[in-house]
Amino acid sequence: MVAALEITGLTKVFGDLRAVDDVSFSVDAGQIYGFIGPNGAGKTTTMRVCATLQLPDSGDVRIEDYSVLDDPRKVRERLGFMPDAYGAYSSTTVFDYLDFFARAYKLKGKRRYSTLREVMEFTSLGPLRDKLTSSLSKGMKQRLCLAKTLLHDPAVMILDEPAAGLDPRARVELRELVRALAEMGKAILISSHILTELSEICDGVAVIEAGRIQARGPVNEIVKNLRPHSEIYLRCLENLQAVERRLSEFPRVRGVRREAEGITFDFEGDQPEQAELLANLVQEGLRPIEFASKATDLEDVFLKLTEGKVQ
Amino acid sequence: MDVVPDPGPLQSLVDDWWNPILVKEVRQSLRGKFFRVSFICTLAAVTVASFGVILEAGEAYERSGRDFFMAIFVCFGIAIMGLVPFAAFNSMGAEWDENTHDLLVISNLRPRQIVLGKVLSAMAQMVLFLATFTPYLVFSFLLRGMDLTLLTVIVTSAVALSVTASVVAVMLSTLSRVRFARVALLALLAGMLGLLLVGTFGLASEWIRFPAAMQGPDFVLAWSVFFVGQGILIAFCFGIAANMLSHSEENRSSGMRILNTCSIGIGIAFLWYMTNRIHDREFVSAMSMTLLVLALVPGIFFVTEPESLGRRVAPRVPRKLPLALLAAPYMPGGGRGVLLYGFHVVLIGLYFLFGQFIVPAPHSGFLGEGVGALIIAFLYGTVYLLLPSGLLSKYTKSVPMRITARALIPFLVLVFAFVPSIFGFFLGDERLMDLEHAGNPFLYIDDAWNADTIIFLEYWVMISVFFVLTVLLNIRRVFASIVEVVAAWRRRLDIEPAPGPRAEMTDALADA
Ligand SMILES: Nc1ncnc2c1ncn2[C@@H]1O[C@H](COP(=O)(O)OP(=O)(O)OP(=O)(O)O)[C@@H](O)[C@H]1O
Ligand SMILES: [Mg+2]
Repeated sequence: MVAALEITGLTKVFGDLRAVDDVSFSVDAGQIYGFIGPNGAGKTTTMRVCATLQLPDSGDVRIEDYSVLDDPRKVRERLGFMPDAYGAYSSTTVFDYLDFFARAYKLKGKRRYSTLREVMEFTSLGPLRDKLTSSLSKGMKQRLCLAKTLLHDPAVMILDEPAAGLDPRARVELRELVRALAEMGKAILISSHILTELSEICDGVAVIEAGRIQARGPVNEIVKNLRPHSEIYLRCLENLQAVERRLSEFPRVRGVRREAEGITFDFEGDQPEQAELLANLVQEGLRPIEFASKATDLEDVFLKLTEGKVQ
Repeated sequence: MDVVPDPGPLQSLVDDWWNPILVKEVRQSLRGKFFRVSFICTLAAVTVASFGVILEAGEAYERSGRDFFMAIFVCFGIAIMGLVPFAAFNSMGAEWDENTHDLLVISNLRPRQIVLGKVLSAMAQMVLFLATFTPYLVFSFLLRGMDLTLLTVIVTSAVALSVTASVVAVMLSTLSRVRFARVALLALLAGMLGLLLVGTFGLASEWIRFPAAMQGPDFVLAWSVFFVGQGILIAFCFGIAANMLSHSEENRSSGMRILNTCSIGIGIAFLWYMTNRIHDREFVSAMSMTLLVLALVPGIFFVTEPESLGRRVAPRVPRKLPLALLAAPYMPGGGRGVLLYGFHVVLIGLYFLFGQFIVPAPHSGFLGEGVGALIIAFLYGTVYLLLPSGLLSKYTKSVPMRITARALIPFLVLVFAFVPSIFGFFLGDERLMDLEHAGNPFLYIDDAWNADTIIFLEYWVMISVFFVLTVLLNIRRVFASIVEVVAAWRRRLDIEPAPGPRAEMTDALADA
């Protein structure tokens, strides 16, 4: 089966700057794929090439096996792109805005109305139908733009920083919408800086810096590859020095460091071995009151993989 | 409450037919300020003007109708030939400013639909103005002194000009989204509209004072030229605007090339008809020269295109070789642009030759009556068009070089005309200073036309040498451009072999 969105060897050059350099990854139907990287890494550029708005200098993007180079019209029928810069028309209401794009997508008669109804319901824009688009708040605008993107029921959706500037509640709402869309079987590529947002919903991520992919795949696999050991925080009733000394004697324990009230160390073992370690500590007479394996999240991945290089 | 109530049966029947952009623009302008304000201002101006004229008129019964009409027409003209195109320019520009252009492009609206939508909304405003002004115009007729035909002719011309100006405005607005360039384009538009208004008002008042000028075949000729010319202009501007909005991998060239040939064809058909009535050799030469301009100016864009067919066009080359070769001048690429220019020159040459047959024998020598001038214009035009583009043809792949090559063609005409004069200034050569040298094509075209000065042999030789050089310089790329089409044709046959007789048989059986 072909992937819903497949990027192969994509390169885009602006003058001397290789904004996107040999980027490849693919997203399957029903998957949510995160696209993370520092400012200026080339996320927007990659997405704009996928959306047929810019031409690649080499490589290709296929949406449901249609190439952005050879069949841009077919691609546009299958793709919903939500750009980072939101475009609103002056003196236009929410309904007129959506109605215009519905017409542009050739939805006719009853079908147009029922689609508008569904989309406005899905994005809860119903009560705002007669508001001017210029008077909407950031969150409402984002929802309007998402609604517009959904009108032609695209199989692949590309969302460029949809969560930027949203308050926590709006972000949670957006996350739920995205999840619901993936459940409908859409392939979703979503870029964001708010990494905690992504890690909860993403089936996979691609990390990009200075135009190059640094890592890609499921979040936990990337995390495992990055850090074969886990980081453990330990707090005992005994005094810190004693604990530190004793701990250092255990095998597979590395990098013991003291913190305000407890101790952090790296442990090169899996979960059963962690349990064994804890049991041994107790046997040794220590009295742990906190023993926590620190979750490595996307934020760590991000910081670890990218160096904040600026091109 | 239902968020989106179903449309009534009538509404859904009518609703879907409209161009989406038109619907949007009408809704926007009903809510927006610009249209309302300009509409109210125009109405106020008309009312004031008409009162002014009526109070002023007093006893001069005969004149009052005309004065009243002129006052109304000035307001009407400013509205439909000034405000309407201006609004069209802005509404296209708003797509850039409001970041909606990308959304439009990816919503599968075809570029020509977008342009059409913008033009139609300009026309909708124009119709609204027309409807508002009609009572005043009728009133001016009732006041006497205004002829109904005259009134119709003037108003129809203004309406036609308003449509043309709106298309031109939309086209200008698509040319650049850079703020600085947009300001320049707006200034250009304002200048053009200003000239248009002044010219129209001048002509209208002339016609009103001397309605007799409007009788006779000459007027009919002028009027038909006026409409044919506007039609061609509209078609070109429309094509350019749609091209500017389309995907850069798309084949943007073929449509314009076909349009170019069509415009020359229409020109020839029209001129053929006129030639049969006018019977003048000078007319034939002058018109051939006009047609030559119609081949040269679009040619600037065709001959500077990057040479390769592009990955979108190559797989669509016709399957039959003769067809593929016939279509070659219409496929993108500089070399094929030269082919197209050659084809257009042949067309014009045919018109010219047949023109010689219908018009009685010449009174003077071979180069009389504009024949020499036409040949000189052709030689100069070809050299200017194909010498720089032939030299630069290897580099036109990059956009800046392409723009340079295009700008260079008209620029070189100026350079060759004026640089020798600068030398002349230092050398103290009067003739050079007065632009009387071979670098100034207009001098020799003019000389040859009037046949009052003898054109020296060495000039002929010089122009011919340049011409031959130009031809030599371009032969290779023209040849390569044909080879490329043949190669694409062969590749196409290889990839998708034509259904053999057997396959056709089974297909036919399957159908049965
Ligand atoms: N049209 C352009 N012309 C020249 N350079 C460009 C253009 N578009 C983007 N760039 C450059 O390409 C690089 C990648 O930009 P891009 O917008 O893709 O980054 P990004 O990952 O989306 O960043 P951000 O997180 O800030 O949105 C940047 O260095 C940018 O300056
Ligand atoms: Mg970006």
